[in-house]
Amino acid sequence: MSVFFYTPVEVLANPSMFENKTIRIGALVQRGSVEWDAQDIRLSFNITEDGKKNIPVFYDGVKPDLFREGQGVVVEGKMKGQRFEAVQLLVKHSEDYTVETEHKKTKEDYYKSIQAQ
Amino acid sequence: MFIGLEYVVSAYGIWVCTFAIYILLTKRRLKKTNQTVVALEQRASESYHNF
Amino acid sequence: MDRMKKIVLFLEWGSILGLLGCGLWVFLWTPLEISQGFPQKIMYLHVPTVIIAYLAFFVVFVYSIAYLWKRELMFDQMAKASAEVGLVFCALVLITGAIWGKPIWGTYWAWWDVRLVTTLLLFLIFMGYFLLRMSINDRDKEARLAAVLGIIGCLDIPIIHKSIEWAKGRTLHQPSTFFKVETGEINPSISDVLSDPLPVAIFFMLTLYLYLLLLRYQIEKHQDELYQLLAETQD
Repeated sequence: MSVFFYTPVEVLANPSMFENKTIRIGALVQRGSVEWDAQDIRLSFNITEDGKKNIPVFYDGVKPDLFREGQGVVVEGKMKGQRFEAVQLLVKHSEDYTVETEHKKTKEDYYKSIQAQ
Repeated sequence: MFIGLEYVVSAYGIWVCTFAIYILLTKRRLKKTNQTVVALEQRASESYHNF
Repeated sequence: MDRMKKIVLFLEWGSILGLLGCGLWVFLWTPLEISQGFPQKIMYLHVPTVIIAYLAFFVVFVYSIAYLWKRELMFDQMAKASAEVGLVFCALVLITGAIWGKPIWGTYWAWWDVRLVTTLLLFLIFMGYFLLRMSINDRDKEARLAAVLGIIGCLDIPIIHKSIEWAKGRTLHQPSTFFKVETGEINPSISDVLSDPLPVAIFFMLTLYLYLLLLRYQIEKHQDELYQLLAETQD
């Protein structure tokens, strides 16, 4: 599997093996961890699989259009101590395709279901 | 609203152009081989009659 | 022959008008997808194209087996014709996919995505298929060796299809939108308004494929007739 990408748990379990080597890590962007500095074009966020263990990622580059909290991403770069310095940031999109109207509808259904309780 | 329009236009553009060119080339090839077969058949039958 | 011409003409105009109609449907009446926005429209090009590419190579597979079995020249002509049309569809799959990847993933290509690499392999195998044919002068030997390569090449298709599962999701490509293995559902992850144009687009790309296949097959037939005639006149 290593030719594809590692997960944060795999990397954190064996830090010495990954230190200063160019690797890819695939994980989710942790909610509430994204900091985007548009002036200096610098992006930082934590990646995680389980919401417990995470790796802080620093990326000097433009924030992709589809980059969101909770989104799957694949970062390529190197571990420098506790942090990951990414040179490439790719976004994995989900297999779900929806339109605006249905999204609203499900939201309304959701609120209705709460009120009914 | 139309973010990414250039990607959509180039994808559809390349697709349509590729098939347009491929269809034209294939039709031309078919016409050529068709003509050659007819010409050769004619020559063959002529030479047969002359013989 | 006259009937053949009629069928070809019908397929030609049917495909052109049908695909134009699909274009109108996709751009005028299909709403924007929520997360991707406009680039999602490439789906209606990319997905039917890949399905027809698979189909074209599957036809090569079937006719290749038929040729090895019956040694009928027509089967080899059909296999060759389908391989060429399939190669065009396959090239367009790679191109439209790359163009779609840029705004969505952030890259045109990733060498570590198994689906991308195995699809490129399919393209290269069938490029090799034509190089092989060109390099052999003996007609029967050409057909036999091409049939073997065509059959082997098609075995890549199930590999492409299963690649994401085998890589345990460690790819850029997402799991299937249209079939869920666990639940056995069809179309579980896409709104109806978004998926509706797809089967129609697939249908008209199928007619486009059949049209091209018939054109290409006639060329092969004529070429073999020419060889035959030349051989006869030389005798």
